[in-house]
Amino acid sequence: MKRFLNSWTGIIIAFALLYSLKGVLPAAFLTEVVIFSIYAMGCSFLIGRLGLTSFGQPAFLAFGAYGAGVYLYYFGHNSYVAILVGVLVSLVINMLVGLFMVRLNSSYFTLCNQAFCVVTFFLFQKALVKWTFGDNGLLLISRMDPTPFIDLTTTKGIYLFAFLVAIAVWFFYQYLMKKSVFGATCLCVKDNEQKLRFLGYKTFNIKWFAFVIANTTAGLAGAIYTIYFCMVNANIASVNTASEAVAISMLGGAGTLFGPLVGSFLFIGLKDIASQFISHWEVLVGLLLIIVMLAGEKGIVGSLEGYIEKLREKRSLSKPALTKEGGL
Amino acid sequence: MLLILLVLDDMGKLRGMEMGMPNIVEVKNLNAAYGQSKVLFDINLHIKPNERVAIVGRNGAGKTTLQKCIASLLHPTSGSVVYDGTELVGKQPYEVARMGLKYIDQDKHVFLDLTVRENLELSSYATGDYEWDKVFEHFPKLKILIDRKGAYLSGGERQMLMIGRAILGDPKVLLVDEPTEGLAPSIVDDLVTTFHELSRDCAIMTVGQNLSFVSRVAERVYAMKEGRLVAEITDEVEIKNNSYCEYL
Repeated sequence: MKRFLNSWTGIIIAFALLYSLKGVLPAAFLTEVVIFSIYAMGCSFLIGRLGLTSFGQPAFLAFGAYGAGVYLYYFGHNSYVAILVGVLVSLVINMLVGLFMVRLNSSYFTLCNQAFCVVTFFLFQKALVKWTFGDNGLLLISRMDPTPFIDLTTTKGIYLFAFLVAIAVWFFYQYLMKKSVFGATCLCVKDNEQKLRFLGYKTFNIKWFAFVIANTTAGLAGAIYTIYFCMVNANIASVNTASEAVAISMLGGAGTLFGPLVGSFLFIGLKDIASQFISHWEVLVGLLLIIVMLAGEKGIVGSLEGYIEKLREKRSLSKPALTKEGGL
Repeated sequence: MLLILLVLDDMGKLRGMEMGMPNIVEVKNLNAAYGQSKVLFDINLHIKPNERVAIVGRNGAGKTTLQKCIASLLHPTSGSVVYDGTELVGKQPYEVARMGLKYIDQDKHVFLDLTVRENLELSSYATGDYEWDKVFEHFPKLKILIDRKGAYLSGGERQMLMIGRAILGDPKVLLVDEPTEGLAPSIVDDLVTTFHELSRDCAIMTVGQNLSFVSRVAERVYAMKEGRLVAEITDEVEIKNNSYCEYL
């Protein structure tokens, strides 16, 4: 089951199933789930694979969002190009910021990222208000031209586009986490960084590269977010939403392939559905998070994978391994 | 003369120390401290190619600190460490590892989420050495456990994996910290044989308190006390009889 889910086929089937829910659940809800899951994927990778918790994710989301938004408002009207610009802006910022952030560990990393988020919010709300219009934001509804192949100016188009991008992102992370040496070294950095240095790895480079990849993924989500909502304002970088990406990652399972998707589904679902009945829907999310963490600290997908792993190891350990020729 | 030495050598391999080759590691006037607390005082030692050297001493003597300074994991306050003609002080640990001086610390910590195969692949990727046969030659059991995760290995198996990982890339020097700690006597016996075999290809410096192991493995012993090297024992009989105990 675990091997199937983590295979290329499993990814396509999972997203195909989600896509097919369009008849049952609102397309807007599903689109938001997919965008948020892309956003949370980077955060999940940082927490689960490197052990670095970041409360600065809204900042990285915002750079991608504003990159796309500023392009559409001032320079051009092609949504594809806007997304590309958003990703590039996010990439450059992450490369620079990462040089400093990955020198920090644990709580210092967490707090400095949060501080960076506060600075970014100020930047977009006040410092650059002449171009970003602060809280009013950039309204882009009439600033996007129809695009070839998939028309991103339509709800159906952006819905399909978000799914295709998500599949591509999942393929990328599937390779990164399961097939690449880089993914293994990220796990080792989390496990024992010094030990990895003993083997001849420059761990600073590994952490920096992982930081750039993870937060550029958030930037990609931000760019798609701007196209989908046809607007971007400073609230996207608000530190009040800093814990959302972390909560989604932990709920679904940090470091797992489908954790961000499951976490995003639950989080957005509770937000959209529960908010119709109670004003403080966050209470439900908080309670769910506590229950899931107490159950195993690995999130829903992480716990499921852990359970399957234990069954598999029990079966292999029950086979005799000791032989006289085995030596030590 | 060369021909005679080749004939006399059991393994048929030329041993650097018998040929009087220069030292592979040379430590001169090394001093180290943790903050204000000085722990190493004017350490001078050397290791010849393919030699098995041991450093013995009580807890807190500075053995591990000395090894960490050699491996560039700790920066000494003064002195030099020259490896194969290159000064190591100031270098990063990963640079030293790539140069062929590997450190195996005492905690027997392998990467728990990775299998034996993945642990070895990591080392192979860093060194470009995918000749795992030499690892399985020393540790056949690793082949059987190849798909087992590090978390499910015993202490002896982890020690095997750590040494196996370290010998990929054909290092010239292995620094092994407390290799027998927590291991059963039968496993320690196997480790003695392994160390003898490994020293065909590289020098080994081991630190520890297991004097029985030292007496069976080491060709030269340094006794360490309170951050100082107090004796160097080269006599085979003295080593076998643990005569260096008087210096501890």
